[in-house]
Amino acid sequence: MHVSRRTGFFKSPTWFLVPVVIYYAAFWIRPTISVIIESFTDKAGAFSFSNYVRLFSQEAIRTAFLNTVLFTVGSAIIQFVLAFALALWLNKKFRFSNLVLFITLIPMAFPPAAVGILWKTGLYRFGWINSFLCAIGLMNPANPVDWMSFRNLNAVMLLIVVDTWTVLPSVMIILLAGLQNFNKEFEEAGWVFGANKFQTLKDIVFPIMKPTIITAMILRMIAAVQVWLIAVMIFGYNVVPFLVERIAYNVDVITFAKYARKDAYTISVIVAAIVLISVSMYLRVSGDKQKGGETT
Amino acid sequence: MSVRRGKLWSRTVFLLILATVAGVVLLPVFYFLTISFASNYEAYQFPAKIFPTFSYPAQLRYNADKKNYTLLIKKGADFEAVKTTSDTSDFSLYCKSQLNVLIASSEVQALFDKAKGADHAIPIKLKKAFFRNYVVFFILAEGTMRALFNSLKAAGWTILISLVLGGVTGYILARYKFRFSNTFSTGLLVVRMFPAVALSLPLVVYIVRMNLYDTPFALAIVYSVPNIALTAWITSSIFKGISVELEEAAMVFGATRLKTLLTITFPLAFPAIVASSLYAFLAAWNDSITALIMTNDNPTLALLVYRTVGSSTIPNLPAAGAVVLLVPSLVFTFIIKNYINQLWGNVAL
Amino acid sequence: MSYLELNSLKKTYPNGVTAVKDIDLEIEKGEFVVLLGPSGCGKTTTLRMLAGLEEVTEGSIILDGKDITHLPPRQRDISMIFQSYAVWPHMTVAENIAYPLKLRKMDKQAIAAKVQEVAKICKIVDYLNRYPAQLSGGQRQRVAVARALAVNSKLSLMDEPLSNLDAKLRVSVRTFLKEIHRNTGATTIFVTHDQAEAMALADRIVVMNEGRIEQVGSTREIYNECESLFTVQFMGTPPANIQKVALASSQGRLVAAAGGGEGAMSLDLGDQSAFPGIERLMGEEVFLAVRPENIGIGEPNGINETSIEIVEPQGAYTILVTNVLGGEWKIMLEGDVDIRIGQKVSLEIDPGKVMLYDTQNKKRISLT
Repeated sequence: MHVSRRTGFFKSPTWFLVPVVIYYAAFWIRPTISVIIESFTDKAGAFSFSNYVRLFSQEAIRTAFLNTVLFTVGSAIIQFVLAFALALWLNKKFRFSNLVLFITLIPMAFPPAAVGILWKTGLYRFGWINSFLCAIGLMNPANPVDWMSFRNLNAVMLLIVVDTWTVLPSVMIILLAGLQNFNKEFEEAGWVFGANKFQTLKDIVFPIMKPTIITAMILRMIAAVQVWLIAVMIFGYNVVPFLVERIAYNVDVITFAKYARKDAYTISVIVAAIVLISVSMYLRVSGDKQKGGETT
Repeated sequence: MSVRRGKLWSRTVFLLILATVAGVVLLPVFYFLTISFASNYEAYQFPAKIFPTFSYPAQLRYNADKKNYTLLIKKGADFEAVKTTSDTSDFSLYCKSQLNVLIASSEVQALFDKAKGADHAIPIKLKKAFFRNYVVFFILAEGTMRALFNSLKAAGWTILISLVLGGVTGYILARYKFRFSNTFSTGLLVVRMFPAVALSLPLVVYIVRMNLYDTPFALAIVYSVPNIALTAWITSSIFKGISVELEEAAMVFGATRLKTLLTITFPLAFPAIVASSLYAFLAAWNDSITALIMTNDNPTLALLVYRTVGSSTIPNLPAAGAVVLLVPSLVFTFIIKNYINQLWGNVAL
Repeated sequence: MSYLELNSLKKTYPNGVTAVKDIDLEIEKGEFVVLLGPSGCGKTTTLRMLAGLEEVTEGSIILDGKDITHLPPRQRDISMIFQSYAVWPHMTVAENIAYPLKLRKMDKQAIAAKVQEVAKICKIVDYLNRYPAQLSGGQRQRVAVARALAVNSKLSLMDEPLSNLDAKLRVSVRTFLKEIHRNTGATTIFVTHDQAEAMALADRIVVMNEGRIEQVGSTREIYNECESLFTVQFMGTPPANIQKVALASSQGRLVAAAGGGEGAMSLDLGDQSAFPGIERLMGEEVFLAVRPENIGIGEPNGINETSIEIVEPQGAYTILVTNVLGGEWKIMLEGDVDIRIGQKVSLEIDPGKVMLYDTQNKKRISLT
């Protein structure tokens, strides 16, 4: 590292950070504080929990909360299993493995709005999902399923599938990075000293990969709690409420309702809190990863 | 020989997995592209085709009893009557709006005459205007081009702000150790992951006060918040990789600090700067929630696409919009895919 | 029938590269065999086929009378020390040693006793509860040895286990490995590209090049009786002086000439009687190889006169560089020799140590 050549506080190059600090003070810290204050004050400006109380007395918000939890946990589990399997597979270099990797990464590049439409074109009664199922003989063309009429748990599960299609590559790529940095000899030592493939995976690969796995999962959760667009694009508002969907609903649809703004503020504080808790978990894990030291 | 059989077995499983993975990714994409080229008529056909069509095999029949004409389009083995009229402009309009076929009234008249002369339905070929949906969505629909420019403007501002503020921050973090540098880096990480919704809502108040509401620049302010941090993060890791000795060598040979930065450090960091810019672009290009909150009459393309879905029952037009939305995303994501890995370690791609 | 047999072993990778072409090798119980060769010679691939980490394309491996060619590693009853040691980072030292024993379904007490026993041998008793990240490279290496020792396998494989250690530590661990081998008598196959390591450790050295075995023999044989040009080039520091020459007879002495035409130079190799059967090679081109330590110097006497161009004192010995037959030759003399640059000397070559190689098949020409 450099020793600063010039001495004196005012000549320190850290002065170049001042614009960034000002920017963050104005556009991050100030709005964050004001949104927190808004969520804890009533219309008259007095401190109160009334926003939270009112919020949780709403059926839709409770459902949104439950759906968000369901969605986050469900997608995390499914995506982890699939992404890990895929990463293990792609990590075995085979002919065209780079091409396959390229193909699997394509969905990652889809903007959420494009994902929403792609699946909408699939899920409506005459969409490609039914068309494909008919083409391979799994569905009777006279009696197609209307996927968009799914409600509640079924709808959440459908959204998990859609979400998985899009984000699986980004989870997979983190795990693949971990696997590629993984010293292959750890695994080989397992085989040589008597472990079968499953034991090696369970006793050696998983524990050593743990920090990477947790990192991938926490990053996933941070994104998953903010789900809204695909839900709204496929089902419309109010069908499958999520936390951020409620914010969008308050801002986009019932803009002039009495508590629309307050509700939106309060939900966004809740979302931010969930994200920040996840981030702090992430920091602890990545800190451990550094402390755990080089594994090679 | 059991070795051989095992090999055959594992080969089969391998190909099966390969087919599944490729199918799951590519099938939706193909169908989606096809729908973006489908006419309204095709969008209601079931089962849908996986590849787009360029023309319709059709017939035109003169109904002597009613003195009108019926258009029939091939469906399976039979022909299905889709439109019956005696008016050429009505026929032409139907072709344009439902079939994406551009045919002038005069040409229709010629066809009508021919059908009248025959005593049975005559075969006609209707050629599709292949990019009709795109033309309709972007050129004929009001506001789409403006939304596209709004997206580009917002992305441009985001790149500019992120690069200037983030690049400087990245350089300082890489080259100097100061008292709060660790806290500062951690802070950047938190900012990077902070949900945009939680910022956009309260910021609207300030943005309105600054007279920036409903402008792309206002969006860029929000997009820049995580992107400055991300840019700082990417560039600092690159600057760290550029040996201080390279800079010192330049200074030993007489270059000033600024000159060193411009002639040595900057060119070396150029790929990282491009990558950060593309990241910033994608953030702005792909967002819809911030645009939803912060714009009114000046939506971005992503927001517009989202809104069109809500207003139309057939998704062929919005699909065309989404394809245009997708193209830069796809290209840029694959340009920066190596940097995605650098964010989480090093995957060789 | 030998304890371990490798029968025409061959390995071709899916990309078409053949790493191991045709390896035939028999190893007796308790032997310490070193596979030696430059990188890419197929030595590591051979070892990994023995371990079962690499599929065998052709040929067979028989260990203790049992065909293990296509068995997975865990069914082969082997142990291995890896280049990176592969000491599992999430287990303590004790857990690392115990894990293979657990897989072998040993009972807890026996495992604990075994861990103590090998830890004592490897002098790591104090670190048993530490994690590998808290150990130095040398200590991790000892853990790897202890883990391999604990399983009492039929075959012990070592893949360049010393290459990640610094020079000093390498020598001491080398001694330690030799000591362990002497005490346990485990059949060991050790892969290295370092000839000093190979010569110090091996009962037998297998020199490999381009997927084939060049020569198998004791350290002495490999060094002094190199059967191929490759071996003589590869073995020895500094390497042997090698020159393509034409042999001729001049007044009862054997003379090697190089260059031809005007710039022709010659080197007197000594009395022709020291080279029985040399007559058939007269006028032929051969490769001449002389090790630097087999050349002496004397006062200029008209035979093989040359001047010294570079002097490199090394303390225990001195390396001189001079021009011989148009090439740069090295001479190694014991002790600190007082010689100036540019000094004229006469070279004295030990006729018994001169090695000749066929220019076509690069094999040694036997003179007897």
